[in-house]
Amino acid sequence: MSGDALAAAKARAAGFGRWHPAEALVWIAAIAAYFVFPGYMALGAQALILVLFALSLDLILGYAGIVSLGHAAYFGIGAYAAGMLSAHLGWHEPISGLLVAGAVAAAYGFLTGVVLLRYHGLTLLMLTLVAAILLYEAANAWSDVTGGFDGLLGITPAPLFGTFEYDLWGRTHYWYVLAVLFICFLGARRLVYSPFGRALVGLRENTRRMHALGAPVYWRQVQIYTIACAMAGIAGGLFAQTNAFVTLDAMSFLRSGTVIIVLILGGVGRLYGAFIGGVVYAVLEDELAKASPEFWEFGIGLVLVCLVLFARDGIAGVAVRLWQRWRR
Amino acid sequence: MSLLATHALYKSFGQLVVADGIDFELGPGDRHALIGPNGAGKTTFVNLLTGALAPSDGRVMLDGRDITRLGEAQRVKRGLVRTFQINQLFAGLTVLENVALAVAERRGAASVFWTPLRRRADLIDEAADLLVQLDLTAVADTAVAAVPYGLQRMLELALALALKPRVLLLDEPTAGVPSAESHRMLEAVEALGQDLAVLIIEHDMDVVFRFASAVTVLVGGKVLVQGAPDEIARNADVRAVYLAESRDD
Amino acid sequence: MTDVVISIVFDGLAYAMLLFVISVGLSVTMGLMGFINLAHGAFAMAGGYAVTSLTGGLGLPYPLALLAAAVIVGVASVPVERLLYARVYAARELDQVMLTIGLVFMAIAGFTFFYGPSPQTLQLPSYLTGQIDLGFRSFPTFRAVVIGIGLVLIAVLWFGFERTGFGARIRAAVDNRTMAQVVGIDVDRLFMITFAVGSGLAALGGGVAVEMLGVSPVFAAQYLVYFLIVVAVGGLGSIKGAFFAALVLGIVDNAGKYLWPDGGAFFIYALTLALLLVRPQGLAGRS
Repeated sequence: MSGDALAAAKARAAGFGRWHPAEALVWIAAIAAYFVFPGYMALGAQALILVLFALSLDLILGYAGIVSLGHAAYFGIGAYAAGMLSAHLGWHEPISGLLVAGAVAAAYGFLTGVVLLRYHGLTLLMLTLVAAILLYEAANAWSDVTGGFDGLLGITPAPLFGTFEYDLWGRTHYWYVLAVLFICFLGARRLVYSPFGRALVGLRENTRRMHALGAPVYWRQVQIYTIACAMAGIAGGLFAQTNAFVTLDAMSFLRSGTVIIVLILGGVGRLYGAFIGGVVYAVLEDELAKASPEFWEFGIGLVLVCLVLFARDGIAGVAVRLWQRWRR
Repeated sequence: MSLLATHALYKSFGQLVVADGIDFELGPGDRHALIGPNGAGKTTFVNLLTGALAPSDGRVMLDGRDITRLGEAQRVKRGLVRTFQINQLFAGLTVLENVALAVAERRGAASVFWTPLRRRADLIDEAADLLVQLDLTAVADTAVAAVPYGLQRMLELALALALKPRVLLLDEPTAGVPSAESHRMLEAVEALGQDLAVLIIEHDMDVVFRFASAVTVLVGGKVLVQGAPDEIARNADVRAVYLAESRDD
Repeated sequence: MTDVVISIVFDGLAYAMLLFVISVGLSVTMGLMGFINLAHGAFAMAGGYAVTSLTGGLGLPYPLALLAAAVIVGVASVPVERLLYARVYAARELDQVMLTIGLVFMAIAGFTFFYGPSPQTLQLPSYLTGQIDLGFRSFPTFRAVVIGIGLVLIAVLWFGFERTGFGARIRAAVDNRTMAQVVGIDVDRLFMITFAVGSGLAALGGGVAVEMLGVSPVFAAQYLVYFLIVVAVGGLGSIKGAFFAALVLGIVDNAGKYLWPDGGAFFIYALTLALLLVRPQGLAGRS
């Protein structure tokens, strides 16, 4: 009966974006990791930073469909902003440092977005790549400020809220990063399930139609780009604060490429894809890259090729399909 | 008093002239059909009207104001809406979601990123009402890719109607559509306000006779003749153009 | 002073020829299929390794090794194209980027495993070493020969592209693939041949690069940006565009690195950015 279909559609709309029990599992697992793997907290923190970085890329790649080969520029600029705040300006409070990192990255994201998002296809790909390389070269040239290849030293974040000291095992770092990730994730989730988020999906699916619906396509893209860059900058800020050290590779092409791989691995356009990809990649890299760098590199290449040929929607996509099949 | 008008609209791609000085007027309540042989430039003309294509020369006016420089989205905001000859839908979303998106755009809700969509029952309800009106409720919860072509075409129209147009440009809306659905389409359009101006590109003469009160014949980017449907049907030049075309088949 | 300028231009010219020979195949295949092939540098790299193995292990003369490497890699590229690339021609941009990056990783790891991470060394035949006197000045023989061969290749490619039926079919398919198919051009076969020739040329360039730039397992990634710049700035599917872009890139990059050893690479990226912003379709591309 057609009335049923309409009711079903309305029910779907009414349930759109409600928290799913499986989501809680992810966060419980993240909290449990602290108790189950106490020796791996330093790795855990870096993995979560990678997740946040990948999440920021998902907003532009998975939801708005903008392919960028230079996203690390915003991670790097956030890292240097937070780092320099502490090392050069003597401001050590970490949370405000993160806000500064995010703001600087957002500003840079807005300026570059306004210029670059007028272009499409291969041109845009090249422009994002070249713009990121230019930033890298500029940071290298100003080595007295950034520390150049040797890196920025002297980053000394103050204890969180004045009370939580950092230890060599990275435990405080882990909670700090997890909390920041959670807050950013809440924001991203709310955005994705808002009318704006839906319009972004429309933009990705059929840009021509969005123009014909009266949508200000360009400005929407600039908006989401700016938000995504702010998030990347916050991830960079966390990177600087937890490592107490920033080098140029924070904004390298390798980092831009890695975060794309992480997202593809986990699944593009599904918020939790960034989670899965980030954790899997960080753990595998830690285990395998040290054992044999060539096998790691070869393995990643092979995984990529197989993903594109057989599982374009990444681990998350495969998991969802398997679960749907199991339900029947 | 015209809603939509063009003055000497001209467009060329190098040597190829696709619009050759077209003067055109559409007033409130008009039901106007645009016909012509294939390659006459009908869709190009619509693209020029909507701003998807920029003219080489000439002007497009809406409400007496020059909108030649305005972009496509801005024209939509002023009530100039089109449908596409080839469906432009969101294949991965359901039918209801497609219409809800259009409604959200019109109401300016699509720029809101802090409120969950599920709390905007007003958008959903308006979209649902439109589905009822166009008898699309049976596929409301189906992904567009799985919807039969005729209903997809109806959805294409639904998206345009969701934008509450003042000027509606329909590009071959009934092409490939079973007659039951095409009747419904035209009924839905006719049921719209008296002030709505409609331009319809059509090949089906039955539709033209049933629907239009005025016809423009476009050949080679130029207006051949304009008039009432029965005048056009009797016009010798028009018959020559169409007969010549069918003789080549 | 003029001596310095002449040196910069000369070296830049040789560098430009090398970039052109490697990148021209990429430009034509990207223009033909719209396929973003980031693994093109791997074919060049394979050529470099093939040449070192052929001259070192088998004792083949250098010119013969270059030709052999071009043929070997060109032929070997066909199954890669048919079995892997063809599966993603209709896929989204991101998938093509990911597939070819994956191949680059595998190539880099593979070559590191078999050959080690150091740049390859090559023993040039004696007639290619030293200097050659061109009347007003002496120049390194190898580079002079590279320039000479590059110009010959350009002439041959231009002739083939502009004056033969085959070239006309390629240009037609680049212009409008659907129309080309409608008039009976077998675009798939055309693409296969073009791809093989392009990869072969890249391998030839790789053989030259061993001496001029140094080829190590990371070559495919290291110089990828430059090949992409030549293609994007030149305009997809244009031999003329690739030539002029390579010329500009080669000379400007060389000048930049000479005048500012620390930050010289900056110029070519800034120039590329500016050029693409102003003319996104590239020098010879159509808007």
